[in-house]
Amino acid sequence: MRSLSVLVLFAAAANAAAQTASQQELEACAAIERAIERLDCFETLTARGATPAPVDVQAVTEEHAPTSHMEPEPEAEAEPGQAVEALPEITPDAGRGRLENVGAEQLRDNGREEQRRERDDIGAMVTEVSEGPRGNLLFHLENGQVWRQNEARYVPLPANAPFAVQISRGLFGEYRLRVEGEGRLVRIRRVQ
Amino acid sequence: MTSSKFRLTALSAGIAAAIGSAPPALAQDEQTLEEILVTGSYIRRTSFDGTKPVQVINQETIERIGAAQPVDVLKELTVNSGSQFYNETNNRAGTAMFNVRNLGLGSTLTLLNGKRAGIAPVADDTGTDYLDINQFPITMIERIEVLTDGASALYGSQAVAGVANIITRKGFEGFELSGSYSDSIIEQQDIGFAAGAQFDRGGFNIYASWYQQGDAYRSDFDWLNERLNPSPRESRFLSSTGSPGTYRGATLNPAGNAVPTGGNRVPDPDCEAAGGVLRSPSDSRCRYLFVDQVSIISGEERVQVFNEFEWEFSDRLRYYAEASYSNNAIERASGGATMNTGQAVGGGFTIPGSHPFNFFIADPANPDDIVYIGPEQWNNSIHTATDLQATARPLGREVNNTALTQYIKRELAYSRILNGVEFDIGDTWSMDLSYGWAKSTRTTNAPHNYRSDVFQDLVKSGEWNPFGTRIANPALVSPKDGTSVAGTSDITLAKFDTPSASNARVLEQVTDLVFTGDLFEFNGNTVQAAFGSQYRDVLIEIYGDSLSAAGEANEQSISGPVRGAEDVWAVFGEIAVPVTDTLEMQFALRREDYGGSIGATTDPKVAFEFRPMDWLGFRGSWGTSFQAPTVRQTASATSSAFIDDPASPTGPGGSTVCVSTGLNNNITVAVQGSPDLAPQESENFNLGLVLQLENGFNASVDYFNFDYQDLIAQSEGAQAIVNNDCLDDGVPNDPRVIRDAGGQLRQVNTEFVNIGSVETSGLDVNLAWDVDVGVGDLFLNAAATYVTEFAVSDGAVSFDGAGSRNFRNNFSTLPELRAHFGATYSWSESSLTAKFRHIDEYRNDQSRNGIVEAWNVVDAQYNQVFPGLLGAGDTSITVGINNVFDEDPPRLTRLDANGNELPAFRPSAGGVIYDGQSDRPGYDDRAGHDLRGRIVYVRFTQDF
Repeated sequence: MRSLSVLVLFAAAANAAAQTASQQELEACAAIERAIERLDCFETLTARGATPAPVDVQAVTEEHAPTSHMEPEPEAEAEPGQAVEALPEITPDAGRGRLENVGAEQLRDNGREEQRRERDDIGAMVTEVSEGPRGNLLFHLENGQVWRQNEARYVPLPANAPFAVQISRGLFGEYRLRVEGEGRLVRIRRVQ
Repeated sequence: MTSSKFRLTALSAGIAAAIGSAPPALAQDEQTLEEILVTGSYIRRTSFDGTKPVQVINQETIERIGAAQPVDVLKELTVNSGSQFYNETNNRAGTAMFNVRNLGLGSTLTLLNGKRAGIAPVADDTGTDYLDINQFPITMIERIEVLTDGASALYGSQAVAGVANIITRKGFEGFELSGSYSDSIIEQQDIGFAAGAQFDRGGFNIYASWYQQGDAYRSDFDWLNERLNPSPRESRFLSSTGSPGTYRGATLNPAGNAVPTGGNRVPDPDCEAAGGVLRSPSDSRCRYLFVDQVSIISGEERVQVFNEFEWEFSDRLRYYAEASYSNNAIERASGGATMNTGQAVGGGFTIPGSHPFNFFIADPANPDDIVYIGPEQWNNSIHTATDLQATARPLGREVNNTALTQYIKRELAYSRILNGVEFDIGDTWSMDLSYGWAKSTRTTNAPHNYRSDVFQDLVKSGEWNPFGTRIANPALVSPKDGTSVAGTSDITLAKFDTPSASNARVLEQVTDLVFTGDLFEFNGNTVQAAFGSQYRDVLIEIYGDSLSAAGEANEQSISGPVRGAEDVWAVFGEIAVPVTDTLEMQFALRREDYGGSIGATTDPKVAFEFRPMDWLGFRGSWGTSFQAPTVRQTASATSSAFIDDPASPTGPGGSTVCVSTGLNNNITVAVQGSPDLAPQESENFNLGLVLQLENGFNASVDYFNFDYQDLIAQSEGAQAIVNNDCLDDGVPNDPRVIRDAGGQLRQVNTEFVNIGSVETSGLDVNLAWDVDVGVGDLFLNAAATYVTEFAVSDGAVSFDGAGSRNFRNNFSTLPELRAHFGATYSWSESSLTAKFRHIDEYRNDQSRNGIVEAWNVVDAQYNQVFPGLLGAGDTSITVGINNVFDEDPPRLTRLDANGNELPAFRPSAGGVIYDGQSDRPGYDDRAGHDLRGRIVYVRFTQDF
């Protein structure tokens, strides 16, 4: 859950920064594998830019993944306009505004839980499937992301790419992929 | 890529990996190449390039064969032969191990995530150590890689026939609950989970399982009853030492010990009424039916947990740890033990004439013989009882698979902790330093052990009644003294019947230091290397029961404590040279120093892979390997074995002479340790061909050859010692052969020496084909191992062990051919699997090479996934049947001197003897024939 919000947040931050940062710089940041370093990189870019402008997240995500339904998270920190402010390191006084939302995800509220789960199911298009050294599959998404099959389990695939998949989260926040129209879940881990 | 039709499965990936690299249909992604470690090398690579003959069983395969415990995967490995599957009489019950190429339980090094992971607290009959694979929860296994060429140059001792590397699901994320129930001759059930969470700098995993199985006695098996146990009188599980027993007239020497007169033997008059068996009304002995004295399959309950953790403290420093615990509680039946008090000449025990229930008198016609008067006719004024020498078990029916049976409880416990750090040095080099601590313990608690001296005193004083009247007529008051009652109290029993406890502890500590990195560029390719050092320390302590250790238990033989330690230093280096784009060479060298008389050994290995075409590759290796003597071998070991006795007590006056009566005894084999043992040395080469076609067809053929010398064995096997005892001078007088009063074999003493050799060669063939059929994916696979040679020499005599049970040498069953063929059709949420398995016929060298028939079984399985049945995760339900047609394990065919099968019945002095056309135990415990018959199982997996 947390990682997903961060991910969306980055998209927002990146778009905000794009006004002053070049596309290459953004891509360079996005390519950094470790979250904290990636964050540093984006921060550097956003620091260079002027006041963060409201961002059309829908537009950003559509640009990268036209068929996905990546929506901003319901939590306040994922609101497009506050994306950059939500990073306490950048604007320390934003802390007070966030406090009321801290731990909200831990409240026992079934209805909310269901809503959250529904939103977690994200559609995506797989454009290519390649294979790692032990035969585990690599799913290349239309937005450039690459996800690796993370368990040695049979994965039924359509005969031809591209094909649509659903990405969901499991009990411990892990990601799972299900090919639309095929039954089985397979655990995946993002590698790019 | 997008235009080609692909449908790849993890299942086929596993097999593809087994054969070579990825199918060409899917190109590897340059940007996402991950480095992997393949069993057989310390050097990380970006592809599973088929350099090594490695067979892989992955999680998908484990599910498709319906494995509920690690031992179940062995049937999938045709290269494995001679693992111990059933443990009637030895203490390996509950454990399982690899035995690649049948070169011995200690000749396949078994690793966990590439590292040594402990030593079982039990050993094979020659004191060879192994790792117990049943200590691991099945839920933790991602795959098992089996390297099938020698690799001591990399891993050290035991990597002779190969290396089995169990690899965990490290990096698994989420929570998965699974369990199964199966019904066959026993019931089995298990439940377990795998859990894991990963963060950006590391993560942890926990796997756990609970496994339980019921027990099965010999008489539970219809085919075994048919073969060996049709009725108590005809059973081949009859002992001539009964309960109640058999008596002979005796006189008391000055020490008060019975000295047999050499007269007739008389069975207890209440033999049958008290639970004994007479073969015929005129039988001279009261016998003991021990068919259910032991269970073929022990009851077991295992609780197992395994954790692993990994954390990157910095870009350069990574910490990792593993911690595990396993407990296996095993229940075995406990039969009635024999009794040799040492206070009767020739064995057994003494019953004085004064005993209130001794109603035997000397025969007036022949004073050496005895005659039974009985309590009804007894008249103190007429009759005077004679002293007796008794051959008997103090307890019989009371403890032999009845409601009163108490179990022998054995507990195998394993704890292990591994800590390691990986540190990057410069751009391409890294260092891995780890320390592993693994402790295994065995605790055995048996309900009965007899204090022989107390027992003898109680019999002499008349307090314990050893006669059948104790059970058949417990209310009987002795007409001799008018007060003693035949039934004996529990208080009296408790005076000599005590529980027994013994334990063993093995501690292995391993420190590994490995450096890996790039050396230099050669022809535009990078030459990589690894080198390192290892220190191993093994401590073994075995403590027998205190009474037995003092020689004061029911048998006079002493089983004292065994203690020993061994420490080993090793250094090694490995280098991988890409000579050209299509040819890679690998060189490795390792030196292990054991110190002392064992000394040091240096082992090289050279391997190549040549891939002239994308679809065609060749691989080969040459090297030497070794198995060092174990601590048990440099100390000593005891075991038990079934021995055919060429001698019998049929001579004048019941003396033992070299005349076989077809008796077969379960005896103790005591092996004395020797400090002068040297390592067993092997030289092996492999040559292989790998095919990977565009259409998804993969194949590999490998030729293997092992020349294994200086094998550690008993100077002579127990059977050979007993046979030669008669063959040399026709008199059973070898002091290493120990018999009881009744002339029955009890113990054979032998010792360990470097003797003998074996040379084996053959072919492994693996085929896999992944085809699109209709709406789904058909995956066909086949594996076969054909052994062309297994020439065993014990130093003097050569033996062709290929296609033999190898009963008379230290190896195990080795059919010439093992094969299986399987098909899995998967579509959407379902899959259907059928498997055919074949274990070829082989010769039974226990009985003139009668043919043990081939064993062919069919397994079937259906799997259905229900998405979202319980929550968001998948629910997977599998139902399956192994051995669909309920094929019995083949019998151990017996031949007569003319090569004809022995009839079921043959004439004997006392009538007829039932042979059942099979040697005991009636089946082969080391062939891989599953005794459970048809197994119906259900398995579920739930993702959360």
